[in-house]
Amino acid sequence: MRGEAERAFLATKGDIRETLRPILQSKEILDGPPILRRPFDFIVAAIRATGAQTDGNAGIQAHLTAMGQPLNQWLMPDGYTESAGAWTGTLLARWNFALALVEGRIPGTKLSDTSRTQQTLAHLSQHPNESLAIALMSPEYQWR
Amino acid sequence: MSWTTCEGSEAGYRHRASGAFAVSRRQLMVGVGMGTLGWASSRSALAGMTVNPRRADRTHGNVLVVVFLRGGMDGLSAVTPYGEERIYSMRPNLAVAAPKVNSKDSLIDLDGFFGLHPSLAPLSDLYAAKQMAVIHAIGSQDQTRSHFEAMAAMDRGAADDGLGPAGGWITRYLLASGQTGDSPLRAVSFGTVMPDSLRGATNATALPSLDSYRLTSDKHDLAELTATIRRLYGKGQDVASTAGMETLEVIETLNRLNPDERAPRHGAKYPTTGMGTGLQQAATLIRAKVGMEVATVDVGGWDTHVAQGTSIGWLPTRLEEVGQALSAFMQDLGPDADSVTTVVMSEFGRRAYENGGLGTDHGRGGCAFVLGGEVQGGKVYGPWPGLKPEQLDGPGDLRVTTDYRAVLGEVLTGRLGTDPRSVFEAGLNPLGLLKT
Repeated sequence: MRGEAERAFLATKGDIRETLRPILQSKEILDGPPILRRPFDFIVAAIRATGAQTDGNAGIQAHLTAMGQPLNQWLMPDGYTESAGAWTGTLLARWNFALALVEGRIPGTKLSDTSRTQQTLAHLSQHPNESLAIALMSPEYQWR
Repeated sequence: MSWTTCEGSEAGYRHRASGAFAVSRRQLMVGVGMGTLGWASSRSALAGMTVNPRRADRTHGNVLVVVFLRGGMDGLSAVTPYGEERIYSMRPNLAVAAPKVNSKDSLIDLDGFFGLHPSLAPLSDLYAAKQMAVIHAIGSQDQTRSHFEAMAAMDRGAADDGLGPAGGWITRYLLASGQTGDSPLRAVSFGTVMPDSLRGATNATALPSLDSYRLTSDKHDLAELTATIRRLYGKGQDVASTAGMETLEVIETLNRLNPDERAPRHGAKYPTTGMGTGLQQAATLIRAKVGMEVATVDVGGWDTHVAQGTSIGWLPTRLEEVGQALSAFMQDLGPDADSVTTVVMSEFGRRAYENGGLGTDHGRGGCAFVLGGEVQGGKVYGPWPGLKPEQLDGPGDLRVTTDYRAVLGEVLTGRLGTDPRSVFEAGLNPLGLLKT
């Protein structure tokens, strides 16, 4: 992969797009191991999927902290680790976040009842919020 | 917290992250997909909880308990060098009298030179039974005498608050020795706030109480939810599924602990304080064998600038709590104390001279305690630097002759099967605190 990137870099006299192409299309990337959502990733995905509105302040950040990823608190230059094993010890905090989100217990964060996900769920289930919480709590949702 | 009062702002509390210290994480993928049932052979009798045997091979089920006395505990009051007359001229009002028979206001002799503060009387039996060691003139290389910098150094496991490893030292221990399938309760901080020694630990748990580790819902049936989660997580073979099943096991284990199992054993009576409650819950988790390796308990109130008291007063009351809590913890543990090592430390000791307000100012060397069934106790460790003016550090402080990391490193090596060089930058000579 590095050789291809090097050749592309030299051939195009340093065109970044052409240099990145062989890297991003490499077998190593495409067939790489699945990535567990880190807490920030998980929360943002949940907010997007449910069409919730959040001020991003203390209320929701407390959940981020409980999951082990307090915002911008990693001291080393390498960033929060991507290793799955580092994040699986705080699944309980993810489950409790999902419940707090659908039950409207996160200050500064409000669930939308008009989002497409919500409307679809309302057709499928008598308890759309519960279904939503369970979807967010599922092991599948923890992966990217 | 109390120590903010004497330094005004947190501006001094700065971290200088360094890229020089790289954490190596052994990402061992063994055990994935085995699920918890594959480890049935090491089930704890109490609750059916399973423990990863690979972890048990390393730690042999040992637990490190770190009690951090925040604010600068006056080591010269806790363990007084009464054999050095000078202490009584440096502290004419505050030094407790040399040991006297049948006196509750005098020191309890340890070795003919050092005496234990009378408020720490509950610890003298543990010392006599060689289950407690004292390390005197211990500290970091921090010269600022600032709570924030000295504490930051110790929480990071650095020599001082200069360059060095970022993140907490317990975090680095967790990363260096972590394996897939480790317990969600490997590192537990008994309190609402995670100490900075666990900063950056993605898999440590702050536990204000044992009841707080549970699903929280005000609209849904918890039993139903738990059953649903079990179905969702029980079918998968991925690391998230495995971890989810373990998390459920831990929740159930904690829920299943009935009042009898939570109650202290062997007649132990804890003080009803944060430290007492924290240690009592630690003992409960140790007995429940939920895979806890490191527990932390923080205790504030040690910044005794004014009217600290001699044999009664503010400091003696704090010491009394420490003595009672540690003594109850050891009694509660009973035979389990053989697998538990408790380190009691503070960010610095206090000035050897008392001040005009009958208190003591920030100093350097302090004292630490190490307790446990496998401790070579009944001894005061560390070279004594002396109290003569030329032997003191800076404005009149006990010199530091033992690096606090030597103590922590020895416990990591001897009890948790981990090379301390993967946690602290330096390899430090052990003091011989532990039985070999």
